[in-house]
Amino acid sequence: MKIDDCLHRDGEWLKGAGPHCAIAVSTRVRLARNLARRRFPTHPDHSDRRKVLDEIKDAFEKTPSGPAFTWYELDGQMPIDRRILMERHLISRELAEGSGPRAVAFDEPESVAVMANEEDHLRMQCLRSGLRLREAFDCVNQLDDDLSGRLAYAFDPVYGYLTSCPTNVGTGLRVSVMLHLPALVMTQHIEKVFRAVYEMRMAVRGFYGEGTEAYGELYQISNQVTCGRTEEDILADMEATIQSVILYEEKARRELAGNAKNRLEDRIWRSWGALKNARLMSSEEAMRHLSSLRLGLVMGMMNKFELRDLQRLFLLSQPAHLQRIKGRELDSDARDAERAEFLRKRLGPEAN
Amino acid sequence: MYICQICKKNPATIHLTDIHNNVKKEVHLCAGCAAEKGFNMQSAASLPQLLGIKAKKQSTEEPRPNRFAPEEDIICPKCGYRWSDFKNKGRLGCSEDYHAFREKLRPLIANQLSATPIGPGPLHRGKYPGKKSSVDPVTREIRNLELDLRRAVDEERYEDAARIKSELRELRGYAGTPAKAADKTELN
Repeated sequence: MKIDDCLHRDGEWLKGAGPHCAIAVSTRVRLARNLARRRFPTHPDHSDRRKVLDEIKDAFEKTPSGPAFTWYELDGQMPIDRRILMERHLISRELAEGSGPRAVAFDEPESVAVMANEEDHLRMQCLRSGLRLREAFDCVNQLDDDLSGRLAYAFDPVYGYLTSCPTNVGTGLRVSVMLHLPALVMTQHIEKVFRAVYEMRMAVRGFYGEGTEAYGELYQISNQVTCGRTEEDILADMEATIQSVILYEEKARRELAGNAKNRLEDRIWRSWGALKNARLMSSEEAMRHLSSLRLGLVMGMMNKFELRDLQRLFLLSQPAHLQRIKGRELDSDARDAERAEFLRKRLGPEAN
Repeated sequence: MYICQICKKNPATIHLTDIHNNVKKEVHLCAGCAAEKGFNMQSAASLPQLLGIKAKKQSTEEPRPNRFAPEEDIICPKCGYRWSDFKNKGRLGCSEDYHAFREKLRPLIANQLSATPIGPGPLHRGKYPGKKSSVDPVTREIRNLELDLRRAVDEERYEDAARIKSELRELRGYAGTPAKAADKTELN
């Protein structure tokens, strides 16, 4: 498979559709599983890794959905190709930057991805646009059922599914929703949301997950407790918390539109000006301005393009995608110039 | 390979680790010097475990603290991974570590679940391999309606709220005992 094939597709999470898509960009549900009798990938002795990969590949290809997936081994691939998969949210930073035998399998809509030999032997995820927790869970749960008949999982009746990090043990279930929260940032209520979310034993992460920055006012909220509760309990709690945050952001947007319309419009059109005119643009700045445009679009303050087209720009202006589109490696300064040009053209006269 | 730190001749076959105030100290001894120093080999909980080598047979015995090390560093008999490795990296070496380190790991995991102490017994309440999901469609529908209700009230859509309430009443009546009995069967 050529990574370039991906560039002409929109990943599932970019669709800009689904319930509450004005705020909830995407939903991700993942299950962590390990094979019994094999060392975890985190063990310093890596001699099991190749065998693990072969066992998983073999089992995966025999599942009903397996043949429709692309199996892509990451060892020996170019860093930029691995980074493209990371920017598309198909693999984690850890898998992209890791070493040794490891792979990802994903379907063509880029909705389901299975990582092999990341921190755990198996990390299965389903991505959906909008807030669709149950649908994403059902999808990944089915895949887990299909695989569990073919692979002996490391499982213990006391602890549940055994994972290399004890913070994932039990259900191995991590649910995260990417939320666009510009109004809560503008009204300075975002800290309050974080505190409430932490009290619910949930975590707030950045754009690329754990330990990454929240560019473009995009935050991922995810459950921290994975053990001692059923999958359904975890989903129900997440749904309730996310709905509350969405209501809070909606309220903040209404307040801004009512009390600070000038400020809001100024921000949106300034960003438009910057994107249409700047000659240098870092990816962080690009995301900040695209975030303003997203807000303006869903609030009906500008109607120059579809949400889907705008979200595609979030992805295409990331460093690896940008270099791939340009067809050559670019250093940071050159990237900023190319990014500015790329965005100017994309939002060009036809968008005016 | 280490040489015995006492006689400085024989290969060391006994390795002790002590961690105090985050400073790790290692002692490597040959069997003779170890015996001379009063280390009673017979009473060692598990020799392979103490020596950090793979046991031929998987021990079914519960790992007991190593009496030689003042603050013992437990070693997984299956993969040789140490408790101190986990403390450094935050990751485990294999699934057997959950048994080898259970005395130390269980309180850590239990603390994540609840602020109040959790008694003995299973912590896991979710799915089992090879069994279908424990998700019960009626419970799921009830939870969805509860959310719809909350949203309807927040948005002051009182007619919708009343309709959802009556649906909820009906569904809760239907869910009563049979659904719970079904859950129990699933988990046993």
